[in-house]
Amino acid sequence: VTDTPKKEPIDNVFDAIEASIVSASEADLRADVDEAGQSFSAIAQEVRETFARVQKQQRQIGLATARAGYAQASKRRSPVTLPTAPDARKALLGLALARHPELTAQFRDFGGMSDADIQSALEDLSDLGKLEGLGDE
Amino acid sequence: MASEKAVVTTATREEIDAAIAALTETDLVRLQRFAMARIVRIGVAADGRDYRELLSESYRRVLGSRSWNKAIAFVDHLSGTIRSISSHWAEEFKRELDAGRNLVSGDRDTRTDPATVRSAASPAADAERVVVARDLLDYVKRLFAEDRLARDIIAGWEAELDGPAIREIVGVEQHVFDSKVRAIRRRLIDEGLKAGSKKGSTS
Repeated sequence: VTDTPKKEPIDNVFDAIEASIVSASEADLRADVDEAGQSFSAIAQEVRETFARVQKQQRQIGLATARAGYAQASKRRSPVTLPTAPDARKALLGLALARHPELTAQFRDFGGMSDADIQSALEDLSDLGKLEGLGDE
Repeated sequence: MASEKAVVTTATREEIDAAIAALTETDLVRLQRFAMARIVRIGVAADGRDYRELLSESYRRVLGSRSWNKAIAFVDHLSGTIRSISSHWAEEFKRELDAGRNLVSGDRDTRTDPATVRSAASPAADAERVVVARDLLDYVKRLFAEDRLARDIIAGWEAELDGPAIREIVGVEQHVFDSKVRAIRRRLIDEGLKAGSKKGSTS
């Protein structure tokens, strides 16, 4: 048994109103707006701005989604569990720098780095995927 | 094969953005008027949302789940989306009424005149929704009580008569008919939106 709501007379009235809007000529719409004491251009601009806001919001959402995806990917690229001993962490950083000489410029003061700095550097290198395969050596 | 066809006709995000940018002033005004008419039509079911929100939600939907088949004019696709979303709002609202939502004690906009609010606020049933529809029709008739031609045109629409049939019965020239339709449209939208904003617009 179908349960289609019965169409009310008011629906026919609004159908006619909507059809008249869809089929209205530009002159008709301008007359609508003029008779209401409004500006055709101002209304058009307002609607355009409404759409522009949606465009901007959607782009921001897209950007946030991309950023979240990047962060997730970074996490997935961090399989290395850092050594628990400070000496072992320092050795791992040395090994990473030896394997990736392009990074040595950023760690010129390698010898004077605190354990906290070494740990932070290792986390950054892990995010960049530069520690992959080094944990086994 | 069906998917190949979809690839050919479904617009990309860039094409949709370009279509939005290409809308003329007339398109934009038409969309605004159409969205306003839909808000007035669904009345209390707009639930505090105005035509700008309807336009925004329609565009969001076109960018998302309601893809644009380029075989259809973009402005027609957007109008169809406006119609679909406002109908969805009305259905959603009906479900809430059926679930016993109280509109009078609720903190949202109630959109319409006190008589309609009372009708909509009572425990909902099909019979009560008919009352709401009749209240809206009464409201429209009251708006044009002093205008005989407007009353005749509205009565013709109620009876599902088209423009030529109404003109023949009423005996008016095309330009007189068109002018009166425009007046009905403008008054119905303006007064309908004013009635809806009495408890405060959301924008």
